[in-house]
Amino acid sequence: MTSVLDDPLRAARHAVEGGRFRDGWGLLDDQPPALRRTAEWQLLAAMARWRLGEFGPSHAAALQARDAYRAAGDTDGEMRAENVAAAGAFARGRLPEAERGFARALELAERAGDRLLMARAANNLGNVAFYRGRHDTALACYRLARARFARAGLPHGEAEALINVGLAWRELDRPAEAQEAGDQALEIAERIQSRRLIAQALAMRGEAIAQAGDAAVGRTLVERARALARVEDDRLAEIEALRLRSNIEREAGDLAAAQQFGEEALALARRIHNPWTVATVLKDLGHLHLRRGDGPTAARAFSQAAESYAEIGADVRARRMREEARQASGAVS
Amino acid sequence: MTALAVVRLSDSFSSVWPDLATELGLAFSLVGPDRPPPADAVAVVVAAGGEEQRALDVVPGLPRPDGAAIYVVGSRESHRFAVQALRAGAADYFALPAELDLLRRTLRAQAEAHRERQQRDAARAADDPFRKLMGSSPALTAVLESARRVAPHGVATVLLTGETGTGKELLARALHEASPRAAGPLVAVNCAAIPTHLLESELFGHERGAFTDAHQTKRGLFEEADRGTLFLDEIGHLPLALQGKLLRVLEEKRIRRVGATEARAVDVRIVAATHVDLREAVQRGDFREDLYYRLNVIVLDLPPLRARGSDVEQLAEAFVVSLAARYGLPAPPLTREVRTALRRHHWPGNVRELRHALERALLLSAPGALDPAALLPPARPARAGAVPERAPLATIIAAAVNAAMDRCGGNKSAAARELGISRQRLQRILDGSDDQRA
Repeated sequence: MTSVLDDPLRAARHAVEGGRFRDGWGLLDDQPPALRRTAEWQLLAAMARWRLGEFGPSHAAALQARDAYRAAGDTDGEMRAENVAAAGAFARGRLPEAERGFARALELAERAGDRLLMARAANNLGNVAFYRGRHDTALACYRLARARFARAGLPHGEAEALINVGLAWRELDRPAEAQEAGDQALEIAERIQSRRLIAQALAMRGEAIAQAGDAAVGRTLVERARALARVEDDRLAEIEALRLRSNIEREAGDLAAAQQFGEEALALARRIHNPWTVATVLKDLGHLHLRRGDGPTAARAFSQAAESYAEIGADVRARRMREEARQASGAVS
Repeated sequence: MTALAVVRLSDSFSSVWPDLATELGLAFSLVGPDRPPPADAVAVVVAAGGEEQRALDVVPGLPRPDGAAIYVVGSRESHRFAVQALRAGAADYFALPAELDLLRRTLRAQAEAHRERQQRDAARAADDPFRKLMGSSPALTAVLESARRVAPHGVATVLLTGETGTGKELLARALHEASPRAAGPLVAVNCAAIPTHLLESELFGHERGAFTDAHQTKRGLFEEADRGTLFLDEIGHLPLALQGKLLRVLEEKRIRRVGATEARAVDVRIVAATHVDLREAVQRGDFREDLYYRLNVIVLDLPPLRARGSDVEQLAEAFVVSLAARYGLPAPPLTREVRTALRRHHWPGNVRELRHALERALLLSAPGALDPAALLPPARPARAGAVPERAPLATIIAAAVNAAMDRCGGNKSAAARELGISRQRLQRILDGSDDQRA
């Protein structure tokens, strides 16, 4: 049995790998300078700080760890550090850098036969493509991730990948395919009893069903998703349900209800400081304002959405929102 | 919870039934003209004290849940009447109050036998790879028998045919689970859902630099399915060029990534599926004849739901139970009106449509009930009438957009493509904010 003298990072490692990120960072921060310069310390610090939302320091630490592992010829360490560094770049809106990093991590994982990292890296690449507006590519990555999670015997990952598939289909305006993905995700989510995933799958199905013309069922499913999200204290899922509810009411012609749900979603999104969510809600509110004949308010919403998208590096979407704002400014009230 | 169902023809001994049900660990369910016995009832008691003659009329027409016995209970101690009750279809006759203990023991034994049967069925079902393909119609049974014979042959290519929503993917999964490849991966691909320009790379992978966006080497789904099964859904949509490549894989058991100089071996069983007539596709020149004959060796044709007779109600009963559990609702019985509605509908979307219809009815009906009117969604109202010939330009444009949206089933991207405008412009027109710029 190794003692703390032989393995001074053991406690910190257990904390980080066990999901106790604040504890893990506390233990790491207590270490002497010599230990803090090691690749493993840097990697563990990067992992912990990413989960704590400290993306800048996480990114920097992961890059140092990656370089150190690479210099030492440790491909396993390099692979893990590359993945965390790419996640840091992604969170900081540096999408091309994130894409390169995840692709490199995937390549190393395939060489090493690390099924879990192969699945995660494929999923992460899908997220980058999604943010960059390349939904066909995102779909391909998510499908691959799904197959790999299934092969690795990880139903939670498989359900998440299926939800991502559904989200990509939604962006491609294919509600039938989105619903099918949601159906499959829901089946798995129920099997593993993940209420968080059940809520996401229900919301996706509700939206797809409403888009296909059945607002009554769509509304019911989205409300159920919202109730589950509240129970799970999943703010992102709750905001998503409110946003979808707003869209359903907008398409059903109840613009007042649509506005109420949309503004509630926006208030929550701003409270949790999630730029992607804020941007998506603002985009939909912009369309609602246009539907109400209020071009200037719509233009403001689209402009704010553009700023939020730009903040996370989603440049294609930001450009699209600026164009929408320009069009809305000239719209007749 | 399993139930004791009671048809109360008289009020005699009416207080006995709820207490008896509780004592036996069963739910109490009162049966009426619009409320048939629940599907999981262990017994149906026709409580006919003083109305014994009516019981003889009621028993023959009573719906009989699977495995449940019908008992007539009266106040008349008559051997002759007991025989008449048995001839009418009852399992036994009890005269209360004298035979209450005997009735209690009989129902307890029935409930225990029911529980044991359920446990055995559950254990058997859990091990059966084909468990999700529910139904006992001759049409389905024949297909499943063939499937069970074919499944253990882990290399044989199988072609599944049938309309959309008949369960082709479920059958593919069952074939995989019942095969020697069950421990390996099952990778499902819908060939119609992948843009043509991405399909080759997605199936076969690519080498770094093989094309403009190929920044890294990527394994394809054939490699992901190595030592497992690859399910190629909608194989009729595979482009001709890729059909040739697929044929080579089937014959040589090797794939070549896009941009690669060498092929690599793969050990994959192919299960293909299609809802189109491949023979007609061959005649049109859309499908290779050699590939068709390669696939058309073991064919399993899933019947449409309208050809499966009583499977509709069997599936409906199972779906109602599972959907009710999903949404935390009491499982409603299928009333006569619901069953009639289910039997009358054509089910063009087959099993998938049936499940969605029951989900709809369950969510939109009062708890514990299933409104037959809620089974099907209202017809989507047309957004607009004909495109006017003489009207302001904006009106003509809006009408044209609405007409396109109707034709495309609400799919904005498809409507925009049809009209030759951007999706953003289409959205502006729908929002009423179009300035007629592209």
